Amino acid sequence: MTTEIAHQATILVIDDEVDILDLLEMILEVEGYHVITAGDGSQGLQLAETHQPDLILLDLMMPGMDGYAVVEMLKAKPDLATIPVIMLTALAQANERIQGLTAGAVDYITKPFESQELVLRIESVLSRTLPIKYINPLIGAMGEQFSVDGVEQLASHLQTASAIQQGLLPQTPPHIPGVDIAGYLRSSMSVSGDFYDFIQLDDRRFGLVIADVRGKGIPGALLMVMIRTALRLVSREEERRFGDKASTANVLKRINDLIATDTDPDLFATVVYGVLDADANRLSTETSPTCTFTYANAGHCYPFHLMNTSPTRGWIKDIDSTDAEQVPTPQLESKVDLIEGIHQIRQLNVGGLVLGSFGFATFEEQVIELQPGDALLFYTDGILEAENQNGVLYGERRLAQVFESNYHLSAEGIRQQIEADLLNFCRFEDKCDPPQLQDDLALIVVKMNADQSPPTSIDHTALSRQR
Amino acid sequence: MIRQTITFSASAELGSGSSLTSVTDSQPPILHFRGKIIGMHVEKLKEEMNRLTDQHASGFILDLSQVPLLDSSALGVIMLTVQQLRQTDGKLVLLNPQPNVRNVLRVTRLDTVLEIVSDSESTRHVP
Repeated sequence: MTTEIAHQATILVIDDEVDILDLLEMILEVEGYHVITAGDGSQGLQLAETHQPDLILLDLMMPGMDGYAVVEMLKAKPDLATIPVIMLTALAQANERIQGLTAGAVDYITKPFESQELVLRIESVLSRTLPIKYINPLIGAMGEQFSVDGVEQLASHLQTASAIQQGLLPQTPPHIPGVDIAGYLRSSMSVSGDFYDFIQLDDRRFGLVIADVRGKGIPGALLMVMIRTALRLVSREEERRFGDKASTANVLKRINDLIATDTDPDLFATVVYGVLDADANRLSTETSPTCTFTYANAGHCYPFHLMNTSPTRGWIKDIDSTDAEQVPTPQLESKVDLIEGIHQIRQLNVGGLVLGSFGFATFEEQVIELQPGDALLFYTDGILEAENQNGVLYGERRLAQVFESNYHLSAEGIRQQIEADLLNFCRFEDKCDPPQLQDDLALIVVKMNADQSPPTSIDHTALSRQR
Repeated sequence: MIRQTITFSASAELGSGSSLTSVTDSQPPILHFRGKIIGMHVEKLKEEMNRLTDQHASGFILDLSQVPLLDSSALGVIMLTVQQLRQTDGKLVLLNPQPNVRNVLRVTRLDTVLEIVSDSESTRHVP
């Protein structure tokens, strides 16, 4: 392991004798090192600055700035001080070797040198210093606490963070009569940037969130917690303040303002926030109950809407009336019907800028009507960009096909089939283990129960539709 | 059309077939990326985009014709650049994004805050 790392290392050689430079370069390149050379001390310092080599071979006796001066300058610069220096000295110069070691060199090689000895000494130094170089940023992050105990503590903090995050996921889907819901998160690391959430607003309505926060690991997790908390607070507050005029687009706008002010544009999330209302007509004089989904989208993958157009179900969806508010984006027309199945699947393609990058972003809202038997699928791009061993992406079409062909199952059943198909797609032929997904993945399936009544009575609904 | 008048001024191999080449003596400057912009490559892109933003306040072109995929961190770098250039009324132009990348730019609506041109069009939009 160490040898493998050592052979990719960069070595800077500083010597005023061109013959020696050439010789060293040749020997070290044969060993697989990346070699850069400097003919004097000041050029050497410059190259050390720009290339941050893993090791420096330094001649002590040079005209102008000599080797001691170079070592002193290196040690004075925090970003260069940790680079190990091996001195090149003449056999007779015992005092100078001591002086060089005192100044901060880690080892010395006497000229003329044996190439095998040179290589062994370099390997020996790198085997000690390279692993330290790679965990240096970690040491920085841990500050004074770096120790075996410190590492254990950091690991335990990460586990706690992961547990906190798991605890933030809804344990049970909201209870709305006639609506079957399943949510799912699969993390590629212990803490994740993707999440989903359900926010119960009242007994007929709930808020639904699916989000992909940029970055994995700790930064992603921190932003995730921030966005989730903000969404919970703002969505309920929006309801209290505006009642029936509450807007999902406004909720996203308010959260965007919060995050765009507090963070750099490269910290962002894509989010769909929607409100499912199982009885949208309860306040009107309409007799037939209607279920609606109102949503706004900040740069997130377009959710799928599977429309129950199966003639066997007794009534055919009236596309004209239910789609009155749907304005398809022209370039998307070919994508509206993703598959040729019994049911039509369309993408909910009202969108907006990603959340948190630009303070000026605004969002649109769309209301769609859901019929008994309709289903919605929300997902993160981890599924679309999952690759098989030939580099082929999973993609929207395959996702839509699996969604449609498992439509008869429960929401949880559909969710499981999608995951199984994804893992099967990514499985490498020569491996039996479940494949590791590169990215986080979140899924929500919402299914409007066709057998049970949406709000009041199904018979009544069916009759009024048939008339 | 553009490529006949330029010479390469800085180039870096990033491993696994990816590379990054800045052409700064053309007007506007062009940054060519080849390969997927994911993982460690994003840092390299960020460094180079920062350098170009500092030196060319009026903006530059990012050539995406050889980029089959970019991840969300890469999108972040693009957004950071757009935001920085806006402060000097500068513009980032994306050249020839492939269908997958174009789709990501459309879904995230980034196509509304930067300019996307194809090779056949002129790049005179950048001052």
